[in-house]
This record gives sequence, structure tokens and C-alpha cells, in this order.
Amino acid sequence: MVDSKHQWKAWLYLSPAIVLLLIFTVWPIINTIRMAFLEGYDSLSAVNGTTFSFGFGNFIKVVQYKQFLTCLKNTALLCVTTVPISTLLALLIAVCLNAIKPLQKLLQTIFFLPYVTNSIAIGMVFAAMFNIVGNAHGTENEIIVTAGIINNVIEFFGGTHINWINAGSTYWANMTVMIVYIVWNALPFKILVLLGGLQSINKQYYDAAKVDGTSRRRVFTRITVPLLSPMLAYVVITGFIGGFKEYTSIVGIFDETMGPPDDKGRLNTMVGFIYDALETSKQGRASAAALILFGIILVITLINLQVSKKKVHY
Amino acid sequence: MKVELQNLTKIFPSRNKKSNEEVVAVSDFTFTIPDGKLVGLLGPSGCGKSTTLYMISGLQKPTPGKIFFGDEDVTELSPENRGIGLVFQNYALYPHMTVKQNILFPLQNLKGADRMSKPEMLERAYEAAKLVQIDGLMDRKPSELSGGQQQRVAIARALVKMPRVLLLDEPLSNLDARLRLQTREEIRRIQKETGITTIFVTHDQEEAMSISDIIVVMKLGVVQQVGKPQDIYDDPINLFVAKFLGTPPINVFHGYIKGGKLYVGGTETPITETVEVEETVETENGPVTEVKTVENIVGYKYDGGTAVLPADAAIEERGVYIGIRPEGFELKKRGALECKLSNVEVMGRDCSVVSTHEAAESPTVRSIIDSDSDIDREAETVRFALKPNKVFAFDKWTEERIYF
Amino acid sequence: MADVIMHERNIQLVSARQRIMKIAVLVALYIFLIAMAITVLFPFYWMINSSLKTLEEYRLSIPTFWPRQVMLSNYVDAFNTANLGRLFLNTMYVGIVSTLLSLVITVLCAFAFARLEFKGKNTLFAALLATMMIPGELFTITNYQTVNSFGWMNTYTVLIVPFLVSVFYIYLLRQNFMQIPNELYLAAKVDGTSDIKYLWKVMIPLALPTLISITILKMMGAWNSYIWPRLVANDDAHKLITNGLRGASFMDTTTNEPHIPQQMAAVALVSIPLFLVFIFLRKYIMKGVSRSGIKG
Repeated sequence: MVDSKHQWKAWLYLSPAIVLLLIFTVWPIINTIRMAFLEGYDSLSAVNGTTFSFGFGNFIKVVQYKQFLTCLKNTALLCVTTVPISTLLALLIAVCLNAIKPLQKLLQTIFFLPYVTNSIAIGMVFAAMFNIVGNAHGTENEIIVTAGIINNVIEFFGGTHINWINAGSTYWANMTVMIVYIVWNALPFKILVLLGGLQSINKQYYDAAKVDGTSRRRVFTRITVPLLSPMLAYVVITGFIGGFKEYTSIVGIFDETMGPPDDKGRLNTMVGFIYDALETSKQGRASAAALILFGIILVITLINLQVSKKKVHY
Repeated sequence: MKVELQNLTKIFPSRNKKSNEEVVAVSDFTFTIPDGKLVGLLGPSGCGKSTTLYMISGLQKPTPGKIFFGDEDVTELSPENRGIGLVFQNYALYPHMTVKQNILFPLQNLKGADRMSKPEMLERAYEAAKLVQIDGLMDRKPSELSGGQQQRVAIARALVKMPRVLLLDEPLSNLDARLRLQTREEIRRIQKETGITTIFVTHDQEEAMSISDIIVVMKLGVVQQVGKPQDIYDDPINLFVAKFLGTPPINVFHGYIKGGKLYVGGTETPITETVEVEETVETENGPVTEVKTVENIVGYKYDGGTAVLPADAAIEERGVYIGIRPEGFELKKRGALECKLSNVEVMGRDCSVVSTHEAAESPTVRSIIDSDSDIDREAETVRFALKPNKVFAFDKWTEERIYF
Repeated sequence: MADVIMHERNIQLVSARQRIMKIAVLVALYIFLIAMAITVLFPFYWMINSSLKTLEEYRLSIPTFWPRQVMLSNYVDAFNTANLGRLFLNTMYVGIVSTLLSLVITVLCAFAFARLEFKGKNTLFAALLATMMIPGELFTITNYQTVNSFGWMNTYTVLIVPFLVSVFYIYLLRQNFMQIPNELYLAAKVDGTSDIKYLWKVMIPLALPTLISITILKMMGAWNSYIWPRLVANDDAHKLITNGLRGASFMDTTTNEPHIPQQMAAVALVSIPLFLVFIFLRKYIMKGVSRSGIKG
């Protein structure tokens, strides 16, 4: 079946993809690495003929940046909170869904709904829910006319309202909102994958467990979770990768300022840092940050794979 | 533990929402399994044997019917409260646990007064493993075991909590021929050693016959016959049972009983009478009664068959199926049954004579005779005399046995 | 062996306890699932509810759970304020053109990898897969410079061309093509059918579900893309919907306060097409997503 006619034909069919990949994928990889290792590279001066010496200056500058450390801390914090929370919650929901018959299809559809949303648009809804309505632009002395629905609910149950996202809000309040929103956003995909995994587990394992009088708890920990472990590893790994690239959900809630009006950039993330550097034409710094991000994702993924090699039953 | 089934029935609601057709998987099964016996539920696929097993296990609930273990009514109890061990058809060993963990698993589930200490559990697990001779494989994963070894692990897991009743679903179907032979003896041995009442399901009559104390033959949810394997083989209650048991299978001929004799072959001519029947027909002018003449079959006249055996003269003349076990043929120069010889297969101890007969249901008639008997392989025909205890007659319509 | 495990017990009691436990567990399951479902749905409900209120009613300190006065006019105002009509058209244009071109490129590429033999095929395919590991941000930095030097800033081209090739979709389709028996291709060769005709008549109809999944995900991608469009096409003529929505300011002219109901109406308008697509093409979306894990 191999003949010379097919050779050029194959390359013909591949050519559009290869040309585009060379320009928009291969060249960027080379160029990003190049820019990252050119001291203080920026494209404006480059155009004017400035030459840059080779070195690690961009990396050193990036890690010394206070703003970068904030971004790294925010990103890492969002990852280590939202990934376990959403995975556990998705696992619980998937297991429960798998145990019922009536309404299963309907509930499954409802739980998938957040996936088909625009994370910026729904972020604006969450912002409205957590907002303190009367105090959006308010000063210290202005009387709060009303709190948003979340605060209304808190007050209904006898709590006091919290300034979640407005001026004067605390870092932890902001973080809580972000965690809630990211978890809400991450659930559908995880539920879909885990439920698919559960449904492919042979029912006889559960019959066997039933005959042996295994308690629900033990069935869950000793049978369901181990047999589901490849799927769990998959959602955890993709969860971490997605988590380290978190950006738009924060824009959705806090807008481009990446923080409450009085503390802009407080919630900025790694990706946000790269774009900020890019917009100020500091390509060298942006490239270094992007490579660091890539390195972190690579390391986290390798650790995850290493852990799952020991724990995951395939 | 004695197991008693009372009017056990399982009706599945129709899967298709539009039609209301129900599926009767098991119908009105009443039977007592004596303590310490090995019972085989035998039948073709879809006969309800597995459903019966699952109802005894408690994984399925009867609709209606009752199940007793000893004097205890366990119908409403869930599986774990019944004290059973169940071996699944494809073993359902937990793939992520070692053999030891698999066997320990049921013991670790026990609560309250039944709870054992760790050394006790281990001791029990090793005891069970030794019983099925896998105590050397305790640290392997199921995927590292052969089919036969997996089977043993599954049995050990079912036995380890000392069940009152052991249930096996098609225990040998996933094994190759050689292992099957070995494992079925193993099951027999284990059952004898433990004395646990054991019920297993199979579609393989040889398997059921070879190891069961009692077999239950089922068809389409209805129990056909219950008894010791040899008794059922020697005395089948209907054509289905006769055909289902025995290798090579029984030879079936068309024939009839008439005037105290059993005939093979022959022709049947219907005897008819002409009757006038009034029939109401709808016409444009309203219902009109017409008189029609109709031919009714009132009986059959049989002619031309070969009389092979005497029969009870009191039996009404009728068409029958005649079943003859392969070992029921004897080569006799003047034997009554003449067949066209097609082939002789020598199998060492005995040989199998393959012939054809126009009244036979199947294309060939297979008979087994001693290899030292004298056969003329070149002859066109061969004549057999029949052993009366190996020949059964069944009513042509009901397929029930006619004793003669 | 004796029956050690079954102690003396009251059968009625055991079976009654068993039944109660079963019902209790089932009730708990449903309570949990329904509570979670309500939590998941609440933001959508609140979006619709708020979008139909007047600003005064929205600001009431005891919130109303259904608007007293249904303000459909919010939708009209939102549509005009955010210039949603233009944004819709821009997004649809970019979505449709990039989906069509992307499908052609993906199909040709997947066909070459699945059916044709050429030197270095496996190496090239492995190299392609390896690029999936790299976060997109790494490409963006250089691509921004590249499109700038091409003079593509604020054009439709810049929104369409850089993302035409998706390695993941090539991979997905190749796997699908591989499942189609090779004998069909050989038979077509014997009959003198051209590659393109064979692709069109045999491969594409058989791989249709995957192609539909790709189409939907690609369209959803255009609808939800934010970072790249904001960077390279931020002018009114080429702005895409998500960027336009985030950038629009909904102010009440009298109080100079943000007009949240209007904003919610705009959000609802942006979300509704997605929901419609989801309702009608649920099967393809869920199938595509469960294999990808890539949002949009």
C-alpha cells in the first residue's frame, strides 16, 4: 500500500495544518524560549535594533517580583482548595446519581448545565449574588441599603452580612467567592467523567459485596474508589492543569482589575501575570513566566502520575 | 442446612414500556433440598435456573413465593442476612485486591458479635485457601492467576465465612475442557468435605450429571423433573428431559402405539368425518345463518411401521415419539429395526454405529455397541434389536411419557 | 463446618430494620441530590429573576423571588447598551468560518494520519501530541508579536487563523477514522475512486458524530473565547461577545449606579444560545467533553 504517489499526497493533505502549526505553535515555542533567556527582552527596543545578552535575568527578575509571588500564591491556593473540594463533591454526586433510577437522567442534565456556560457571563451573575448592592461604589460612611442575595440568606439564618467582593473586603472573603465559583464551574466535567466510570464498573462486584454484607461505607472506600481510581486520577490531573491556568473566572467576578476596587491585582494569577507583562511589552519577562508555569504544570502532572502509579488500579 | 422453596415464582415486568407483556422467568417452583446435598439446576439458557439461584441468594426477590433455610423464612431477608456464599459466573474477584485481601474481605465485613480478631481472620482465610489449594498464591492479584485459580479463589471467598448454603452460578463455563473436568471433581470434593448444602447452575448436562446428588431440569421457567441423575436418565418424564440428558443424545423416531405393539415409522392417515355446521355471516341485510359442511379429523389410521417392542394393549392407539438411548441398540441378524449403515466409528472400548432411518427425527441414528461385536462394515443395512429399558415412548401432542 | 455466623435472631425484626434502612438511604440520596441540583441551578434562576426586575426592586433589602413588575424592557436596553447585535454577528461570523475551515484541515490531516503511509508518520504524530502538553499562554506571547507583524490587529483573520489547527481534534478524528475498516479504502482504490470522493462518501458519513461534536465544541469555543480576542481585536467592529459583555458598562443614568438587572439581562441573552444548543445537541456535547476535558 506504500507507493510514491501516496507520499506527496499525504504531505499535500497535511500541508495546511503543518504550515499553521509551524507559524503558530512551533515558532512560538522556539521564540518563547529565546526571549526568556535574553536579558530584559522587549519587542519595542528589539525593533529599534537593541541587542540583548543571554542570561537568566528574566527568570530571576520574575521570581523576585512581589506581584509574581502573589500570583503564584493565589494560583496555588485556588488549586489546592478547588481540586480536592470539587473532586470529592463530584464523586459524592456521581455515586449518589448512580444509585438512583427515577430522575437520574434529569438530574444528570442539570448537573451538566454549568459546563455549557460562559465563565465570564456566569461570573458576573455570581458577582451580583455576592455583591453588596448599595455599597458598590460606596464610602466607609454610606449606609448599606441592602446586601446581595447571599448576604440576605446569611442574615435570614441569623448571621451578619459579609463584604465579599466590594471595596474593603478581605482577601479571604474574595478567595471564598472564587473557590465557590470555580468549584461550581468544575463540577459538571468531573461528574460526567466519574459517572461514566461508575457506570462501566461491573455490577457483579456490587452483588458480591452485597452477599458479603459489606457496609455502604466499605463498598465506597474499598470497591468504588479503587475501581474508579483511573477516572479519579484523570479528573485530578486535568483539574490541576486547569487550576494553574485559572484566569477568566476571576475576570468574570472581579473584572480586569483582578481584585476589589481598592486593592487591584490582589487576586491575580499566573496567567494574569503573563498577560500583564505582555501588555506592557515585557516579552522577556512574560516568556520566563510562561516557561515557569509550564514547568510547574509539568512537575505537578509528573507527581500526580507518580502517585497514581502507586495508588491507581488500572 | 435444608433449603425449601415454596411456589417460587419470578415475574419480570415488561422491558418495553408500550407492551404490557410480562416475562415469567420462574413459575411455581416447589422443592426441598435436603441438608448437605449438592444440587444442580440444569436447563438451556433462559430456563430460569440463574433467576432461581439469585432468588435463593436474595439478590432478587420472588414474586410471589417463599424460601426457607431450615425453619427460617428468609424470603424478606437481604443477601447478607441469609448466610450464603455465592460464586459468580465470571468470579467477580476484586481486581485491585490480592487473593488474600479478596478472601479476607467478607470476614472484615462482619460486625458485632460475629467480628473476629485479625489473627482469627487470617487463620480462617488460610483454612479456606488450603481447602481449595491456593494457599501458595495468597499475595497475587487476580489478573496474575489462571481461570481455574481464579475460580478457586472465588470459591474460597464464598466459603470463608462458612455459609449455610453455597451457591455457584455456571461455575465451570469459563474454563477450558481439561480444567473443567478437574474443577468439577474439586467442587464435589469441597462440598463433601464441608458438608455445606450446595446449589449450582449449569447448562451442561454432563457437568450436572457427573457431580450432583440431585438435579433439577428446567425449561422456560417450569421445573420438568427432579431426581437423582441416574434416575432421570433412566426414566425421563417427557421428551424434553430425555433429549436434554445424555451424550451422545437420545435418538428420536416417529412411531405409534397400536394393538399392544410399539411401531417405528409407518404412515398416518387422518380419519375424517363430514359434519354440517351452522355459521352466522354478516351481510348487508344483517346477520344470515348459513349451513356449511366441514371435514373434521377424528383420529388417525396408522400403517406400515415396524413393530419393535410389545406395549400395553390397554393404551389407546396414537402417534408417539420413540426415544432410544444410543446404548439401547443391539446388533442382531434378525433384529426388528433395519437402518441404512453409513459409518462405523471405533472409539476403543466401544464403537459407534452411525446409520440412517427414514422415521428418525435427526439425519443420523447413533448407536453405541461393544467394539468386539461383529459388524460388516461393507453391508448396506444393519439390523438392531432394542433393549426395552432404553426405549421410551412420548405422546405426540403433549410430549409426555407413555409407559408401556 | 457449623453455622457459626448466624446467631439466634428475630427474622421479622431483621427484615423490618433492613427495609427501613433502605428507604432511609434512598430518601437521604434524593434530598442530597435535589439540594445540590438546586444549588447548581440557583445562579441561573437568580440571573433570570434579577434580569426582569426594576432597579428599585432589585435593591430591596428583602429580596423578591419573582419580580413584581416584569421588565422585559431590560432585555431591550441591555441589547442596545452592550451593542449585542453587532457582537452576535461578529461572533457567529468568526465561529462559522473558523469551524468550517478547521473541519476541512482536521479531516484532511486525520485522513492522512489514519490511511496514508509516508515517511516519518509516527514521529510527526507523536510530535503533534506532545504539543498538547504545553499551556496555550506560552504560544500567545509570540503569536501576539507574529500577528502584529502580519498587520492583522483588529481584523477577523486574527480571530480565525491562529486557532484553526487543533491537535486534539485531529487526534479524535484519526482515532475515529482508524475504526473504519481499511478494506473499504482498498475496495475504493480497486474501483478507481479518488481519495477525496472516498473521504466524502465513506469516511465523513461514518465519522459524522465526531464531526458534529467537533463543530459544537468549536462554536462554543468562539462564543466563550475571551483572552485572545481581547488582546488582538478589541475594536467595536471585531469585538466578540464575551469580551463585549465584560467590557460593557450598564449604568443607571439617574443614580449613576450599576444597573444590575440590565447586566443580568445581557448575561441571559449571551447564555441562552448556549442553553439551546445544549438542549438539542446534549448527546454530542457530553460525548465530546467526556473525551476531551477541554472547556470550550
